Amino acid sequence: MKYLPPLIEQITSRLFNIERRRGNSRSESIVLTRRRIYILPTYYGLLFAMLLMLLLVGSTNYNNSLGFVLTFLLASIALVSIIHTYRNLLNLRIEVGKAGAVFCGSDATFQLQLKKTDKQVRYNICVRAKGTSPFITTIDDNTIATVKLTRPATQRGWQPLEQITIDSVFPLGFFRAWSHCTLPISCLVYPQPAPPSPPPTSRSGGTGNSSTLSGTDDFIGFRSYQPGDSPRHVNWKGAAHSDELLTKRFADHESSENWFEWDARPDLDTEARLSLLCRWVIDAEQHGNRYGLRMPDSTIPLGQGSDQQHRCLKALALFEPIST
Amino acid sequence: MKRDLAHITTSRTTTLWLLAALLLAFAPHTLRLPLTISALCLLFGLWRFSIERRPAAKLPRRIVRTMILCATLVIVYLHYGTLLGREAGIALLATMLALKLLEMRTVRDYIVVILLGYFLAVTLVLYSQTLPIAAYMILVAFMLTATLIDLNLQQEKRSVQTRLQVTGKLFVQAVPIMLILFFLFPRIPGPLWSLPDDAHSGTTGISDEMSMGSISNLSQSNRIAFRVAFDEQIIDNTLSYWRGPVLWQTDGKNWRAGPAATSGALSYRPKGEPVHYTVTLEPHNRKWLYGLDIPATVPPQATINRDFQLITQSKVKELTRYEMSSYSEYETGPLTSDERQRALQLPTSRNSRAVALGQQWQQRLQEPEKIISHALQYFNQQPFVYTLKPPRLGDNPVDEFLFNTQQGFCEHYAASFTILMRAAGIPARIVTGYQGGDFNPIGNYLIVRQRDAHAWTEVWLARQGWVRVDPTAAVAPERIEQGAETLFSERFNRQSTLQFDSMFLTTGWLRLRYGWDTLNNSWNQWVIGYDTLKQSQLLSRFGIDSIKQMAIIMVIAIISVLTILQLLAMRRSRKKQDLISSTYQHFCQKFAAIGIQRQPHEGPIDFSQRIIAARPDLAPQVLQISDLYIALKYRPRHTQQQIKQLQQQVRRLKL
Repeated sequence: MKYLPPLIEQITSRLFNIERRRGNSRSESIVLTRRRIYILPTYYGLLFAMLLMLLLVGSTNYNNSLGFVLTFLLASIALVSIIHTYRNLLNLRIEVGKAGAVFCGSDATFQLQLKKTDKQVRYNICVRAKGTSPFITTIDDNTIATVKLTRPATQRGWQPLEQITIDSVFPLGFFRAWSHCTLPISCLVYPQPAPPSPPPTSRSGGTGNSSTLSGTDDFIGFRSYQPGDSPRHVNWKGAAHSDELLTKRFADHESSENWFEWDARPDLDTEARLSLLCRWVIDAEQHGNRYGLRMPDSTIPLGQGSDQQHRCLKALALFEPIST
Repeated sequence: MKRDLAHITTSRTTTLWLLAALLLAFAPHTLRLPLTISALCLLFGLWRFSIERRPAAKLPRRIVRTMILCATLVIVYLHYGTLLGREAGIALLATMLALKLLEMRTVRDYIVVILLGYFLAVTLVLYSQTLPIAAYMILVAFMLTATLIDLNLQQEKRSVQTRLQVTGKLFVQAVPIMLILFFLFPRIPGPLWSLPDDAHSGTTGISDEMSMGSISNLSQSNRIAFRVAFDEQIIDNTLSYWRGPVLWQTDGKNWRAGPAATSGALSYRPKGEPVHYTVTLEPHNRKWLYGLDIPATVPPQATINRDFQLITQSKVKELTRYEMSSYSEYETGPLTSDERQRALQLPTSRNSRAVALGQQWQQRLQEPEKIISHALQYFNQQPFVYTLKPPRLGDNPVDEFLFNTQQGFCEHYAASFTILMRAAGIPARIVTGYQGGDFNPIGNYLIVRQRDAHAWTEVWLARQGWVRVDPTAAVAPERIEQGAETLFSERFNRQSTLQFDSMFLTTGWLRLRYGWDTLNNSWNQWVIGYDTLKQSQLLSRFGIDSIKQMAIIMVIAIISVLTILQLLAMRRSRKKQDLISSTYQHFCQKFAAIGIQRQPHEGPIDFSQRIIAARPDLAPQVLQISDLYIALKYRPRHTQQQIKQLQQQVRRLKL
């Protein structure tokens, strides 16, 4: 029984050429039309069918008309529930939302949007993709529901969201309607920051050694926490009464310019170097330094701010060593 | 097939709701189950309830549960001596279900409990299939389904309202399909295997034996024996004798049918036109049907014997409906020598005074007709009393009744009269059955109840054959003319001081009662009595003859209903929303033309703010339109006028 749905899916896809229709067009949204939705009984549905058989045999045996009434009532409810399950998905539009960048080792987050164009409430819809935990949502008064799928980010670079499955067993759990689609949504995964370590003294002088400065510098404000921030700078007091974790920022009097070089640590392998560079970039940004990045294939000029950090980290994330 | 579905989750409120539903399903069983078993089930339920109440409490451990399970099995076995059969089966189902509550943890457990709950619901109708029981069973099924739906709702969105709303919708939509299945699903005549002895409830009504007091016992009961619908006009009360077992053999105390007549064909000569009618007989677990004296036709499920009694092959265990016609005036044929001997049989030692009186009449009067009328006069003129509660009689009951107590019910009169006739040399036998019944003017049919049970005598006269003589009529003619109900309820009426009020109430009450019985009668005809036979009768009227045809039509009908449901739901939700959306689409297109494109993830508020930032001059119109759009789209109530307003404003917008 376990292999029945994939088998049927295969047969139907062969028969009706569904594979080609399925989300391979890289459009940003997909509507779950009739052809995209499959429906089959669940394990509980089969259990229920067994109950109905037993009730039918019992009613026949005792020639009990009310037994037939209940048997047929339950059977009809199950039949009607097929329509409800099916309609729960029908004509839902699934759209690409945001996918923020994350560091390797944390969770990659993908946002999708489910929209409905009619008034019918969509109960208990489950969205998941390969490797993500299921996300359950109900679309009632609002016509839009935001779905957040998270998956551990284990590899730097662009991480696409593969084969999204939307399914529903509402209202009885006896039938499962589902649809597969693929949407052009990817999450950028930065390299995992290395443990804090001082960057090398750059050519243009000045140091970026943050740890020696932190105690003496002036506090200039907060920004939201990013992985790699020193725990000593986290605003723990504030975290107690707020959802957001903030990091204290300090102005560095000796604010200076750092150039981070690919070749600074030739003793390390590619991934370790990327992690180290990642750490340096984060630290430099945290201390308000101006910094730049020199990679074998590109150079990012000196700059500051979150855009600069993103540019640098993106370059690190997407770096591909030249094969020799 | 995935077993673990992330969609289905349990919660405390669901558990409480489930416990309530199960309690509802279990409650009527407490009336029948032994006290220990009911108490056990309630105890397990309460245990689970207390666990739900206190978050710290845990379910009992496996070893404890196993011990309880064994103990429960032993208790059930000790009570019934078996674990099979209907009674023990129900006890077992109830206890196991209650026990399951103590280990109910996963979603699968919950669903298994709900499915078992449905099973418990259906056992409710094994005993009684009345209209209220049916309603109750459906209520139980509703509650259980609501629990199931609750498991399937997102936890944050669970509420009583949603639960009931969704369940109600499902039930209402299921009704047409249920009716199709009920009427068209090919019924196989049961039982599929032989049922245990306790499969059907005990015997009621008249038995094939009679003793003094057996019928007067029955007369306390208001239970319905059968209902009769007459084709043309209702028969006169004095003629409505519903024939049951015919009793020949007596030992002076008890009467029984004796050996069945083996030889001789049925012979009679009808006088006048037959009466046509349909009887709906309540199950009485005996092998005969009732018909008016004397049956002219025999229903397919029965045969007629020489006593004009309708005999069935097997016991009547279900509501049975049959069409009949009878002659109320007739002459029967000659008596065989065997029959004559049986019709003159007298107890050897008992009731010697009665026998002597009969013999004395024979010597004095000679002619049978004279003897009969003399006997009836005797009953009429002596101070005999017709009563529901006759005094107990000893070893010579007829003597004691005739010469001492003189208080009796119909069986006393019939038995004494028969003994007297036999002593006087007139072949006589007792016929038991029902007499009269009350007419239901609303449903236009006759209701015959157990209290209408009656016994009378038939004597054999040379020219006429068997002739009915009812000695009770000589004592209490109103019993025959008006029926048992009027006779015995009069006493009650006399006690009432508020004569007018009670009259008014009585008629209102009567009407209500007749209405209720009419409803029950149609329920019996169409729901309870709907079986293989009735199904084929009904469907052949529409030209459906074979099971194959039946199945095909059923499937087509179900698919059509499902399609209609689907189409209705889609059409209803689409119409209005399409108009609103397309108007807003039009609005967006206008801005797209000047380079302000709405992003897929952008809501109407964000979009309007972006427009205003780019074109501050359009701010008032844009705000108005997007406010209106949001109101129409997201608020549950809106008017046709608002939609028109939106259309107008979008049309007027000039960029």
